Amino acid sequence: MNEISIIPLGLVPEGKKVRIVSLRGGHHLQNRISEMGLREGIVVSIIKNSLGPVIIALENSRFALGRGMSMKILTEPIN
Amino acid sequence: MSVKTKKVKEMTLDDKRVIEVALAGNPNTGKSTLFNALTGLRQKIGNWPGVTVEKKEGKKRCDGFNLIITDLPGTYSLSAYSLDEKIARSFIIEGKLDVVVQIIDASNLERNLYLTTMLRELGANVVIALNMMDLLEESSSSIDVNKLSKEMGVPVVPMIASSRIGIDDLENTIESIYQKEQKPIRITYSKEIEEVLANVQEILMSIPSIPSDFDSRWLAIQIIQNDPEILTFLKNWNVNKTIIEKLLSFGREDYEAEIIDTKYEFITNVTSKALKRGEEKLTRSDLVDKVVTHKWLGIPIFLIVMWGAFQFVFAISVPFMELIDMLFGWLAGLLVDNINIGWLGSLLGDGIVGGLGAVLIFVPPIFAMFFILSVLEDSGYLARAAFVMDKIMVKFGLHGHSFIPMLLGFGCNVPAIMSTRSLKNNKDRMITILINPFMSCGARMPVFILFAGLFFGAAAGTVIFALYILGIVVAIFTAILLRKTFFKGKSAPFIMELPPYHTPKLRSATVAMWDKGKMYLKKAGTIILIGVMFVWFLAAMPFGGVEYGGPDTWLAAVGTFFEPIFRPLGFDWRIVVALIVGFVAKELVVGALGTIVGGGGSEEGIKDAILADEGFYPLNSLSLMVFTLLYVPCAAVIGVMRKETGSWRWTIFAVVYSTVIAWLFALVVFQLGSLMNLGL
Repeated sequence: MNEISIIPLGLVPEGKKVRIVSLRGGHHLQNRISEMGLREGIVVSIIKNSLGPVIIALENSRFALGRGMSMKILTEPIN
Repeated sequence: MSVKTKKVKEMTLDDKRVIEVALAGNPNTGKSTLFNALTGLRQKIGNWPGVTVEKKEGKKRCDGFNLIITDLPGTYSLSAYSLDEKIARSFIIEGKLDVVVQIIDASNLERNLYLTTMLRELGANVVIALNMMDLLEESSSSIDVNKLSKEMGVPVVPMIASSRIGIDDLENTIESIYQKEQKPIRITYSKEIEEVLANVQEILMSIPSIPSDFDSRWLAIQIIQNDPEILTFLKNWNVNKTIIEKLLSFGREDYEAEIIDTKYEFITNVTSKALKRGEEKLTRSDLVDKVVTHKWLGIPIFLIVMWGAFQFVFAISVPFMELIDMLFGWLAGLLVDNINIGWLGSLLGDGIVGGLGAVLIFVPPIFAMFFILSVLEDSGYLARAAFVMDKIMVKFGLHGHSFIPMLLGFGCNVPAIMSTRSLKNNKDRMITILINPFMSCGARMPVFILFAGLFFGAAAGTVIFALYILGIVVAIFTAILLRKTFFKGKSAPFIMELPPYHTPKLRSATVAMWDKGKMYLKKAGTIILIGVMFVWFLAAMPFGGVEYGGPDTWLAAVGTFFEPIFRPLGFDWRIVVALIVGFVAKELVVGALGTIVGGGGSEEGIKDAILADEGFYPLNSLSLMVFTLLYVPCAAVIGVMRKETGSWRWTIFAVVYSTVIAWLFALVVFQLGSLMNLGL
């Protein structure tokens, strides 16, 4: 895996699909969002990313993630 | 746990079998739609024991058997970190349930199955209601129902709850499995974890006081994940202290993540066999969201929606208010003309009809407010409002999620404060609870409508709007203050599911309006009735010769005692009395004034009486409205704050703080107004 290609979710442009490679933040936080389905290895697409929170698509659901949160989720692009 | 179940049972009792069912599921899977489809209007709403979270129960007569259905809170998991999860979990453990129906959004299979693995591990008898099959087809995905059922070891009923498709199937499936014991699924964890589990289980087996309905493997899994609730369980079972310590020492911080991962591996294995994914594409909701959550348009759209909501509330309620007013005026007239016993006529006319009429006239706008809030919630817009406001809320040390309870506060602060339980961070939750009373609830509207309407004519709407804004400003100011002092630290990361937009259903909005509005009617029939009678009593005492509500009555004595504190705000003893009884419920402010000034039960009568009275004029009515806006909403709010914060200290803080703030703001309004000599 190429280190350079890893970017936080909050910096992924709208319309792109990425795979989550790791979650940052405390154990507790990681576990809670994993239980919501947002976990390592999963593919999400970025529906909206401008000012304010990011909207992502995960299966058929949409999640709003605050800026801070979105920077704690590291992703790699998929082709 | 099932305090209310008895009542529901009484209603269903015929000689048929009763099957107890709980309805579980993730948020936004159509759980309440299924619950309504199953039970119709035969529902009971109560509280879960010990907590103020709403508990819904319903019953259903089926062919040859009866169902009693409990709606569990929507959760992603059963890990007992939020109040919702704790409630759902302990109900499943202790509820003596026959069947747990888990409703699953078919288009989100993988994520939803996570809860299924937890339910199965817990040993529940599960039926999967595979909902939203229409959405699944739309996305050109497909699920092999038989394979899914086989892999998960539970029956699966495909359905479209909103069109009532699959309901009969579900009922029959429940009946067919309720006596069969399902084998708990066994997810095999890593070798290390399995060894630890075996050790823990061995110790658990040697403790005789553990009830037999607790599966030792499940308990062991919770223990090694440091589940915060297990300690309480163990203590309740009087387990020896050293044994507890030994058990807890097996817990490790990283086990939980590993266990979650293994569960997902199990699920991915299931879905790889049972689910065929179609193309992902933008939905209609995504397109709407591009506009509604747009960086520039978002906030203007939010303001327009809110403005429209308020317009709706007032426009729709005016004709009904006039009708109620006419009715009470007629009733009061009838009483005065036909009752010859002086004091009885006075009690009925001045006291009860006068006081209650003043309160009941506001049933229409309050019901309309609950209706529109429910429509906003059902449509999916409320979540977007939270999204849009996140940017602003972050500046005050909170985030978008805290905004939903604030909006709900416009209806009633009690359910609004309860809704904060979905906030994950305790400091965020405390701040959100403590600022909520400043959001002007429906019960304060009567005071505003009465006085703004009387003294501010065409500007009444603007005055009321400004009061709502003042409430928000004070709330925000308080939030900043609390964040900088007692609740230092960052707010929890913001993460919230955005449900797809729905066309709101008239029926569910009506049901929600009735459920919540009923509380107001009940209050009018009980606490407010007693309150106005009490005020009437004080206003008529001492017996014989005193003018009703006059300066020689007991009521005047109470008011006069406190008057000095309130004189700088422009209040005379009568307003002081109204505000004091307003501590119990804000509706009593108008009710008490109606009783004191008289006016023959009708709104018009009270208005005329107030207009003719020198003790009321524009400036002090403005400071009266400001005071009413800001001080403690009602006794019920004090109670719910105590329960939800778990602390008398913070509850008392909120009461004192808001009363001081109310006094200060009303003082500024009155003194500044007097100084500037506005001629008010």
